[in-house]
Amino acid sequence: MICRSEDLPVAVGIPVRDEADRLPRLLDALCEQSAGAGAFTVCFLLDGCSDDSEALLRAAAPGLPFDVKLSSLPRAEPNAGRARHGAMEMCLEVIGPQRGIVLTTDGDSLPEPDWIETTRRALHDVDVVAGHIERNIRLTGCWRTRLEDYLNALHSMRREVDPIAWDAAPSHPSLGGAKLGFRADVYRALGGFPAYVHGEDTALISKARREGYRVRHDPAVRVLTSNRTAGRAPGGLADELRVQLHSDLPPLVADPAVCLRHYRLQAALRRAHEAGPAAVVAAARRFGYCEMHLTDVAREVRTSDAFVEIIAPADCVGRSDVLRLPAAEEALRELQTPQPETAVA
Amino acid sequence: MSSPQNLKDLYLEELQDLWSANDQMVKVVREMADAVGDEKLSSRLRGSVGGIEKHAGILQDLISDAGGEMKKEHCKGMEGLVKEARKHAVEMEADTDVKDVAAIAQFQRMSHYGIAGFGTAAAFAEALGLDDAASKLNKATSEIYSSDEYMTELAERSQNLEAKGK
Repeated sequence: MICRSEDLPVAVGIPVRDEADRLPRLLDALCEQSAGAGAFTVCFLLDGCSDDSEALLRAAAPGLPFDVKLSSLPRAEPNAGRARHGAMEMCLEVIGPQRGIVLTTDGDSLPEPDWIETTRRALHDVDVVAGHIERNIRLTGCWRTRLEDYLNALHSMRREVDPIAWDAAPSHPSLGGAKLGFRADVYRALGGFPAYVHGEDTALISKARREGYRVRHDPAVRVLTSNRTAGRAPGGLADELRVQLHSDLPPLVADPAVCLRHYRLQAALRRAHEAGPAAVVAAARRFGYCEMHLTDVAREVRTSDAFVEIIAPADCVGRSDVLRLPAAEEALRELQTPQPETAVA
Repeated sequence: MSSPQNLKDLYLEELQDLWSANDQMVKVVREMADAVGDEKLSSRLRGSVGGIEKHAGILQDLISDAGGEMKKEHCKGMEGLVKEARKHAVEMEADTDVKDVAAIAQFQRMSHYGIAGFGTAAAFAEALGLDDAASKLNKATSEIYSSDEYMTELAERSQNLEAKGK
């Protein structure tokens, strides 16, 4: 029997660490999910909470229009990956062996009313959906806002240079764990979020691509997230935000010219893999890779995207090729300015 | 291949051995990137794979120029190091901080094996008057040698580990 994604059971995993003051608004946002969301279960993983988060959720649960599951971890050193992994394990238990959809967000986030519905729709065509995070208050005059605008512009250039069929415009660069959706079987096959102190979200998305799953960065899937500067785990987005809110010094970012060269390399490798073995050998010669290595990897992967993610991942962009944000913005503008055609004699 | 009879044979054998070493190292570094407990270290290891791949590309060209071919026959030296790396940084059940330090240490061992191999091959190339090859091999040696970021990280993480009493 073929199940449409509208019919599949949905479970939402949310790690919570001392977020009693934010949870009422999150519950309101979940109550307002559109009819297209269908029935769903929300699994809260209380990560060593020492405030009223658990009492609040237990009191609210009977009156909510969705099922609530609660579980808790003892207080320990904060670890965003372990907490999210735990919340998602609860989701998999809810879904069971059948097909389903698992989503995750954060305690300080407010999913838009069509969040589950748009995720369901996106998962018709792809295996993983990364929604778009929008700030509940757009901060002006701070580096964070300029950085996000810059990264959006850089991503647009990237997808123009290196288009992916299932991630066509409009797309976005954000990968935060506050708005990810997976087909449950895919999530299970990936082994779940790694127990990283932070960065578990980007790591899992990168792994999904390396293993040949289709990842869509869908701006229609939207979640509002706070500008909190005290997060669940050290070194995460909240810490980054705090530095960027209080620093006079602009953040360092990769030189966009170096990024552009890398995107072109990725595009060429993608086209080579799509074209077949002879093109892979030609690409190895052209870019100085070992033919046998590239041919081996090309044979082993399921998609051209996986080939690119293994051979030339974003991690390859040089750590020393960095610019301060204003210089990078200027450099990006120059790269985007159409160059006059050179006359050929 | 029959026993090397002269420096040219030794040079080709060194290149083939290095290619095999690189081939094996690429695979285990990818496994280590998946196994470590820290996202930044994972990303750094994955980025290093790109550098190792490029060096394999250089070796391929030099082997071809020297009239040889790449062989899947294992470099036994790297085979041992890879076995150790897999045991201590991939398969070992340990605290993630401990495993991360082990991964850096294992990466260092393999890199230093690479430095020795590329340096030797460069010296052979120079003696044979293969200036272009010597230049490429010396550049690769410098690239591996100058990326001391792992050593800095190893020192910092070891100190953190000690401070935590692990």
